[in-house]
Amino acid sequence: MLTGYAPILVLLALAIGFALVNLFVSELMGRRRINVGKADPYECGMEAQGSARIRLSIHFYLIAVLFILFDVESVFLILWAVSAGDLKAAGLAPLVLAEIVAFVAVLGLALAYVWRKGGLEWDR
Amino acid sequence: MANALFYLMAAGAVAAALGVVLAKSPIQCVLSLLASFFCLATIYLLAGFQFLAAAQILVYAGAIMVLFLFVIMLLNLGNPSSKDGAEDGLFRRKGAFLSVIVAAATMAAGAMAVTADGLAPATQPMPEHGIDTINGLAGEMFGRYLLPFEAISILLLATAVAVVVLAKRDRKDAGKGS
Amino acid sequence: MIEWSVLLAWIVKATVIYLGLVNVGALMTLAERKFSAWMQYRIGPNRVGPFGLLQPLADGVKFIFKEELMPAGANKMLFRFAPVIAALPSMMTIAVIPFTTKDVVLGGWNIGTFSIVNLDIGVLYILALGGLSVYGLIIGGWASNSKYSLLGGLRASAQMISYELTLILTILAVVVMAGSLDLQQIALSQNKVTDWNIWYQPLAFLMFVVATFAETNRHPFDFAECEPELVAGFHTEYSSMKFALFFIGEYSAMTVMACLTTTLFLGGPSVPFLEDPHWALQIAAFLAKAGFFLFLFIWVRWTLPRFRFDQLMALGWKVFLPLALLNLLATGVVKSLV
Repeated sequence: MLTGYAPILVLLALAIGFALVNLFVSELMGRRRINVGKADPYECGMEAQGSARIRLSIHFYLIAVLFILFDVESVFLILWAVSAGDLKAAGLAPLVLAEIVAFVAVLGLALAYVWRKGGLEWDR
Repeated sequence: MANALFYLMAAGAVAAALGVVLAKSPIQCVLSLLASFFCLATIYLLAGFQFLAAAQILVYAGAIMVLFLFVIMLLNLGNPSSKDGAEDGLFRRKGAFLSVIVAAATMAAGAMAVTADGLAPATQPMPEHGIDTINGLAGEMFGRYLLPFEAISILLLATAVAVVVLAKRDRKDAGKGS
Repeated sequence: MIEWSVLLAWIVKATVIYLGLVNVGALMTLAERKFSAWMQYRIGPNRVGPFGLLQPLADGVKFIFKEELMPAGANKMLFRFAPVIAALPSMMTIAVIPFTTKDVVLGGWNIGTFSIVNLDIGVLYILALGGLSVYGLIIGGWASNSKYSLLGGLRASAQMISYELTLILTILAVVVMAGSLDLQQIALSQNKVTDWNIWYQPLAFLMFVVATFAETNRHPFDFAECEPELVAGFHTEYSSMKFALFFIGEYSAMTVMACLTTTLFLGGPSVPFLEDPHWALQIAAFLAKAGFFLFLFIWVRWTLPRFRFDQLMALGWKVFLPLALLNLLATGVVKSLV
C-alpha cells in the first residue's frame, strides 16, 4: 500500500521546491521601493474606500451547503458506479439499482425543493 | 520508513490541531484544520484505507472546510481585531477546559485499548488493494447497511430544507425594512 | 528495501512529467498570445528567439526582477502562501495520468508504464486534490485586503464547487463503463477506437468539457478575473513571481484537465486502428489528443463572449447537475440490467 503511493512523494518534493523557489526568488531579487501609494489596495487609482472585509451574501453559504450535500451523495454513488458490473455478476443488480434510484430520487427532491424556493436564483 | 512517516504525520496532526485552537485569525484556524486532515488522511493510507483517505480529503477538506471559510467570511470574523476581548478570554478558558477533558478521555480510551490487546505487531501482510476495497465496501453498504444508507438521503434532504429555511427566512423583511 | 533501479525510475518519471507540465504551462502562455494574434490578424510576439519561442523565458526572467507588492492591511503570511496553495494541488494531480498503457523500456531498462503512479483510486485522487485548489483563490483574495480580490476569489470558489459536482457525476458515468477508478484500467478498456467512451457517453463528454472550462476559470466562465468588473479578480494585488505562480497553477490545472478528458473519453494513449502500438507512439498519441483540448481552451477564449455569473450558476445547478445525475442513472441501469 505504502510503496504504491511513494512516487507521489517525489512529485511533491519537486512541486514544493519549485513553488518555494518561485515564492522567494523575487523577494530576494526584485527591487523594493515601498511607498504609501503603492501599498494601497487597487481601486482604479482612487483612494480605497472603507474596508475590504465585508460581509458576503448568504448565497455563498447556501451554495456551499448544497455542494456538501451532493458531494456526500456522489461519494456513495462512487461505490455503486465501480461495483455495478460486479453486482450484476452476483445477481444483486436490480436490488441495488432500486436502492440507488430511491437514494437519488430523495436527493432530487431536495434539489427540486431548493429550486422551487428560489435557492438557485443568484440574482435575487 | 512507514513507522517514521506515521510518527511524523501523527505529530503533524497534533501540531496542526493545536494550531486550530491557538491561531489568532479564524482563517488560519481553517488552514490548520486542513493540514490536520491531510495528516489524518496519510495515516489512513499508511493503515491501508485508500477509499477512506480519499473520501476524507474529498468531503472534509474539499467541501466542509469551504463552508467553514464562507461562514467565517459571512459573519466577518476574519479580522482578529474585531473580536470582543472579554468574550474572547471566556471562550479561551472554556475551550481549554473542554479540550483537556476530551484529551484525557481519548488518552484513557487509547490506554485501555492498548492494555486489552497489547502492542502486538501486525501479523498479516497488507492486502495489495488495501483493506477497504471499493467492491467490499459496496457489498456492505448496499447489503447489510441498506437502511442507514437510505436514511442518509433523508438526512441530506432535511439539511437542504433547513438551509433554505435559514438562508431565505428574513429575505422579505430585509427587503421591506431597508 | 526498495531497489535502486526502481527508485531511479520513480525519480526519472516524476522529473520528466513534472518538467513537461511546467513547460507546457510556459508554452501555453505563448500559444495563447500567438493564436489570439492570428485570430485577430496580428503577428503576436516575434522578437525573442525564432517565432518568439523564447518569450516565456523572457517573461519569467522579468517576473523574477519585479517588485514585490504587499497591500497595506493584508494578512502577510496568508498573502505570501496563497499562490503556493493555489498551484500545488493542480500540479500534484498530474501524478495519476497514464501516458502509456504499455511498459516503457529504455535500452533494456523497464521503468513501467509512463505515469508517476498507478493508483486503484486514481480518479478519486484527482477529484480530491483538484477540489483543493479553491483554497488558494479564496485565501489569496481574502488576504489581499482588496474588494476586487475578495469578490474575485469568492466568485471563483462558488463557481468551482458548483461545477465540481458536474465533473464528479460525469466522470462516474465513465467509471460505470470501465468498472474501475484506476485511470490505467479506464484507458485499457477503450483500447479500440470503437470502444472510446465519447461514442457511448456523448452527453457526459460535452458536460465534462464545459465543466473543465468552469473548473479552471477559463473563458467564457472566467468570472474570477473578469476584467470589466473586477480588474483582475483574486490576483489584482499580486505581482512578480507570486502572480506567475497563480498562472502556472492555472495552466497546470488546464493541462491536467486536458489529459483527463483524453484519458476518460478518447482512449488515453490508445492509437486508432493499431492493436499493439509502441510505447513512444502511445505517448505521441496521448499528447496529440491532449494538445487538441489545450488548443480548445484557447480557441474558445478568443471566440465566445463571456457569460454572466448568474447564468453560469443557473447552468450548473439547473441544467448540468440534473442532467448529469440522470445520465449516470441511465448508464447504471444499462450496465446493471442489459
